[in-house]
Amino acid sequence: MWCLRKTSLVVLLLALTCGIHGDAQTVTQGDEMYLRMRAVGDKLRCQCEGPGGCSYTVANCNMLHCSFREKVNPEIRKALEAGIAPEAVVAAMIAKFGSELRTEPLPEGFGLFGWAMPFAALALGLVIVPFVVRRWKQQQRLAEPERRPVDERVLAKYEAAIERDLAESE
Amino acid sequence: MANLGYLAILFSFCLCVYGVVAALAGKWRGKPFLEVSAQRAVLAVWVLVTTASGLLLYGILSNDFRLSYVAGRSNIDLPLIYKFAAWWGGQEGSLLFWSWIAATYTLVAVFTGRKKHRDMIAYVAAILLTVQGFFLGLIAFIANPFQVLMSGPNMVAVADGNGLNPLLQHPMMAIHPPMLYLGYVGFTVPFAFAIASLITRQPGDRWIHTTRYWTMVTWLFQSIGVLLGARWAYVVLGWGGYWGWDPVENASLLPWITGTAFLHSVMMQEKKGMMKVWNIVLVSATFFLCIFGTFLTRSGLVSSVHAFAQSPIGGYFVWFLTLGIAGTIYLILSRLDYLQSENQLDSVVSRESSFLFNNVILLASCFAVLWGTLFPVISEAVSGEKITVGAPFFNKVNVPIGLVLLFLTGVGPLFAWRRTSVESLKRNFLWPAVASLVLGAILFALGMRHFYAIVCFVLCLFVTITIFVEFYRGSRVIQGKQGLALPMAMIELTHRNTRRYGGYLVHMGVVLMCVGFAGAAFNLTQQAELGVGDALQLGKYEFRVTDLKEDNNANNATAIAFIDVYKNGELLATMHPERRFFHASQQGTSEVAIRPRLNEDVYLVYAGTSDDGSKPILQVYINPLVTWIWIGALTLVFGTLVALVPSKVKRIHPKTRIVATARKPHVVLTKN
Repeated sequence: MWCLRKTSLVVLLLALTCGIHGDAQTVTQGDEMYLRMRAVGDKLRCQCEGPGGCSYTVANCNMLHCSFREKVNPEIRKALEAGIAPEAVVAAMIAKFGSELRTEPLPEGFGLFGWAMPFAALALGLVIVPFVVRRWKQQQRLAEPERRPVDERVLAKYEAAIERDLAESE
Repeated sequence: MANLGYLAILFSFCLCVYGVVAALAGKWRGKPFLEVSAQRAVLAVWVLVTTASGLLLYGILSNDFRLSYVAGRSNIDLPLIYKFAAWWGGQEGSLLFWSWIAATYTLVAVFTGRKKHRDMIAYVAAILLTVQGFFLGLIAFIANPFQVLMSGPNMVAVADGNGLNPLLQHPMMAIHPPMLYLGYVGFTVPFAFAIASLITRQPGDRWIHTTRYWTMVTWLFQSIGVLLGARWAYVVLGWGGYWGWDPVENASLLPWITGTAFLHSVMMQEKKGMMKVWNIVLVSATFFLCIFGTFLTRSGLVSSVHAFAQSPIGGYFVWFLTLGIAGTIYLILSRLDYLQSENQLDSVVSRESSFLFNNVILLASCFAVLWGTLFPVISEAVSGEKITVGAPFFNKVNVPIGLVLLFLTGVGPLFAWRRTSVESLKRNFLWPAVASLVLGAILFALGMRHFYAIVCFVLCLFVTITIFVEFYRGSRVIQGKQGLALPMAMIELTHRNTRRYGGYLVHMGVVLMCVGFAGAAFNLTQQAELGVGDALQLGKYEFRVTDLKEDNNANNATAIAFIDVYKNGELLATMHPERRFFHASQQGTSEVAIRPRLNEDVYLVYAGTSDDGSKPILQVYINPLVTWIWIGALTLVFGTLVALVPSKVKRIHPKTRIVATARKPHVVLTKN
């Protein structure tokens, strides 16, 4: 009986050791599905703080027990495991939970206006600068006093002095 | 205590009103004693607001849970440092904190400027007290931090408070909000000086120097605040990034951008008497964006993880902003004659033009951030459908704009004032451009295909070379004249013109940060459930769990994973990400473990536990070059501090005007 117990204990210890040893050998490349889910989650805005969301994406929201992420992630996983394309999963989630899940406007309708405005403002600014410079130069010409001939040597002397002064004043 | 605190706030509000009336009446009626009285009101307001703040802090530190604010934001076992942070951890307390900073700024601005700006200090005081009064009014009548939970003969305080939001329980949170508030509130001072100068039609440049100096100080605080916020997001929020384009993050960025634009364009006004209207607009826009940011954080207009609870104060902000903007526009329009430029531009290829382009790009960036932040509200108002935007939108819009700005950072300082000759362009740009393009080719040959990242690295090298060349050329001249060693010559050079070379250091800081931002294009991430002995392979790294421990203290319960990190089979470090559960607030957080290195950060998050609760879920991030962001941030702060030091050589900026032209335009210098 004692031998049986002892043998059992040894077997159990061996099994545990093997088990632990076996576990210790486990080297994973990670959850492949995680990266695919993350790609989808990056295109969906988290709604964990109520309407409007927490402003992070589903992939990035790190709130512990985020109710929305915990609800939507299993659905994303299920859809991806069923072989549905990531874009289709994103579209399905937006269709189910509403357009507030979008992280960027669609390039159509008012959404297109949203995309265009920042670049339009930039373009307008870049157009305006040369226009303003030209206008200032025109005003400058109008405001110029009567032209009179200047000796080239005197001009060169003053120009050199000015360049020196400006260089020092910088 | 609650009554005393409330009375202090009420009296300080009344004194603000009195101060405004006394300052204006003293100025308009020519009664200097009223102006002096207004200045004393400023001092009294500071004393009263400091008293109220002290009483609230005392309530927090002594666990006086009769106060609703203390019960909602603190608890007995909250560590001391976070009890201080509880002062600004909620709506009412943060408004009081804002008021205390505003009162301190007002005191310093008025008492340091009363002799230097004798003829306009009354208006400065009136404007500062008006802003101060608005916030004190909100505290006194809408968001009282001394609200008691219960009163009466049978009054019994709650046993313990709800505690501070766990995300705020981080040392960074003890510094980040004060810095940000110092920036936000500080922009009121340059605004007050600018408006006062408009009202009084200040001659000369003294007021613009004062405005610029104050802007630089507050810009420094705002920069530190924004960057600490990014650092806090990186080490606390645990999503592997540092900037999520959250509306509240954006709100802190907006005045920083316009403040940056002002610090550049103000040079045009100082040196050439140009862009006066533009500068007033920028100073005003910066101030109003600060108020707008505060409104955004507190009104519930947009959703944010950082926002305070929705409250009824939003409407008051809208009124304040509307009246303030209308008044400023009226003043600017009525003073256009005073704001006329003293000079005109000579050429598109000049330092002046580069400032114009710089301002356009900065403003476009500011508009893009503002537009994206408000687009959900605008789209809902216009089309009836709320179109939300997130980080992808902001990145797509702002990255190209940012790259153009980075390019201008390199070329702007190399242009000469007035006009730049072709020879000068060749001399200054040829080698930096060649070296940068070579770097681009090498990166491409090495297999890098991320377009924006390549462009960013190319531009970073370009700007770096131009900055080093500027330092080197100047230092060599000093070395030749004084026989100093090159490093000493560089220090001497910087000391002679701290503003210029401090500015270059700030540019260098921006470059280093851009290197860090570009690294994000190569981030790696993975997640796995790992038991003791299990390992995860990611890139060149292997992460092996060696132990799991639990701990419990009065404030929180903690689960810790001990992870050995190997690279190419060599043990690099043992890291221990944690997961904490706070007893008082019944909320949890992840405590990230980071191994920062210059080439890449290893970033571990204890994201959760497996369904059966036996294994931790670990998220692993490899974030290349992130450390350069923080190095860049320190460089930026150092550069700004250098720029704030008075130059060894007192500089007078002669203004130029055209008096006649021959075949080539020429100018003579006239001192104004």
